[in-house]
Order: sequence, then structure tokens, then C-alpha cells
Amino acid sequence: MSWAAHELEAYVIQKHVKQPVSFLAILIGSLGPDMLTKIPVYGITIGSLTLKAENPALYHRSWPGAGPTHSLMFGVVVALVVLAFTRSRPWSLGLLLGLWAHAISDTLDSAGTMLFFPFTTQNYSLNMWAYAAGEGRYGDAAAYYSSLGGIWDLAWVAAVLLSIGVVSRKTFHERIVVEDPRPWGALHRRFSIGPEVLLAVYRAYLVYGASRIFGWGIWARFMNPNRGEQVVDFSWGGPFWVERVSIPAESTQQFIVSTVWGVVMTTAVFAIIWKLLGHRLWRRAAVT
Amino acid sequence: MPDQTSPPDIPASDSRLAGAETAGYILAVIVLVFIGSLLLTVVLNWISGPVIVIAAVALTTSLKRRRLAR
Repeated sequence: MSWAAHELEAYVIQKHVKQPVSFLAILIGSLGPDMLTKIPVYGITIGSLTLKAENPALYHRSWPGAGPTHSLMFGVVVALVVLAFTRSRPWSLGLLLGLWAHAISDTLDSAGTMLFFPFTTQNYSLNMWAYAAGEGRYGDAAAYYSSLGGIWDLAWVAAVLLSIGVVSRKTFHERIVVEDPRPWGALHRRFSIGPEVLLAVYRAYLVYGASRIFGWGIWARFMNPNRGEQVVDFSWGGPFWVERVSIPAESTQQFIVSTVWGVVMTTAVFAIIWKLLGHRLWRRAAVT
Repeated sequence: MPDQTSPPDIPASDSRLAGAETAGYILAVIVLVFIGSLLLTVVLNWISGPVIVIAAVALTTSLKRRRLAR
């Protein structure tokens, strides 16, 4: 899984979308699939009750489990429901983009995501770094920030820096607030939050996301008690010292058949949903 | 016909607070990176991480505003 990338991708998406879009919706979409599923992945103990998935990778990214939250269809369903109930184009579009960005960026680790669920439960993975959530939060952090995962996070910092105008005061007032006036107006009026702090609310996940990389990186490389064995390994699919979890296809033939079926059916169903329902909801929805 | 909500009347930032804002962000980065690397998930999580950023900017701008009001 990506660590800080999900916080940072919202800013880059916001920069490049030309339609009116809600930044808050993109952010919630980018964080949503893990917010919904992360607790059982690492496990939590409350009193005598322990909640932990037997196999974190299968639970998080496969089916049966929470894997469908990391699929293209999940984004479409959430966007449609939000469009129907809120009649807000910026929120619907923002959630769609955020959820899709999360599902696609998580294909880089070894577990991958079921992009074309429910038409196929095949996971798609580029195997760039090892999915290591089964090692617990600290083991996962040590593996991620000792591998290409850490470089992936830094690439997102660079991408945000290249889009730095998106967090300017001018963009905040002239675009972010204008394209999604209700929540920002409510924060300003109901809680009497001034313009400087409102801008900080907008920038908060950027500062947190970028700082988090260095906070966890410092721990992984300088304070981790196992750093002697858990060395840096920037090889593809690394680090070598952690068990790399993958959810592969049974055969190449099955992979090709599943993929073709998944792409064709996903495209066809998206087109039908848009024709029968999506465009009507979109037309009656508000621009902001 | 899609309607459009008028943007809220949020005033422009006070330029005299610009330095205090920057100090707030720097404070937040220091807390998140250095205290975060010690306390890890207590500080570096989806709720307290962003709250630290907002609180740091609110604190420094409010202190500066008080000083300007004297």
C-alpha cells in the first residue's frame, strides 16, 4: 500500500482537473478505501477483544473481504449515490477521482488491487515494492521506507511541488472555495474560522503527508531497533528481507481471459449506467 | 438547469500575519517530523497529523494578532 501518496495525490488531481471539483471530496475519496479497511489490517485490541484479519492482504485487497473498496466500480457506485443524494457535481466527481486514484496507485505494491471487480477478482500489481501489512504497522513502515515505496512517496512530494500553485492563497480563494462553497462557508460562519486558519485546513494534509514521510523515514532508518537486518533495498519488489505478499493469477491464460472480460464488462456497464442513470443525475445536479 | 451556490464571503488574509502563518507551518513540520518520529502513530495519523498543522497556524496567527492589538 502507499503511505503518504494518498494524502498528496488529492492536491495533484485538484491541480489538473478543469471541471469544478470539490477538493474535500477528492481527499475523502483518496483516503476512503483505507479509512474503511485499515483497522483490521493492522489489528486493534480493545480490552479483551482483538480485531485483526487472519490474512491482512486477502482481507484488504481481495474477495471475500474489503478488496472491492479498491476497485473502479466502487468509485462509480459511491459517485452515483452521492450525485443522487447531494445533487452536487463537484462532490460526485471529486469522490470518483479520489477513489480511482487510490485504487490505481495501490496497484504498485505486490498485492495489487481488483480494479475490475465484480467482473473479475483478479488482482493487478506492478510489484514495485512488497506489500507487508501482515508484519504489523511498524514492520510495514520499516519495509515501505526501506524500499521503492519511500521513493514513490517522495515522487508525490515532487509532483505536488511541481503543482505548488494549487496550494496558493489565490487558488484557495478563487477556486477551492468557489467550486465547493458550502463546507468552506460553514467552517467560516459556524466556527468563526478566519482566512489564515481556513487556508491551513486546506493545506493540512499536504504538510502532514509530506512530513509523515520524513517522520516514518527517520524512524525506519535511524531508530528502528531492527534496522541492522532491515536494510535499504531499492530493488524492484523489495525489500528482500520481508515476505512479499502477492495474489497472482492461476495461469497466464487465466490472467488474459480475466483481464479482457474485466475490461469489456467494466466499460460496458459504465456506459449503460451513464446512459440509464448517470447523465440524468448529472444534468439535474448543481455545478457547485 | 443546474444551479450554483454563491461563494461565501471569506475575507482576504491579513498580510501582517503572513510571517506568523509561515512560522505556524514550520512549527507543524518540526512537530510532525521530529516528535512524529518518536511517538509515531500517536502523532502521525489521519486525525492528529492534520490537526497539528491547523493548531500550529491558529496558535501563531492568534499570538501575532494579539501582539498587533496591543
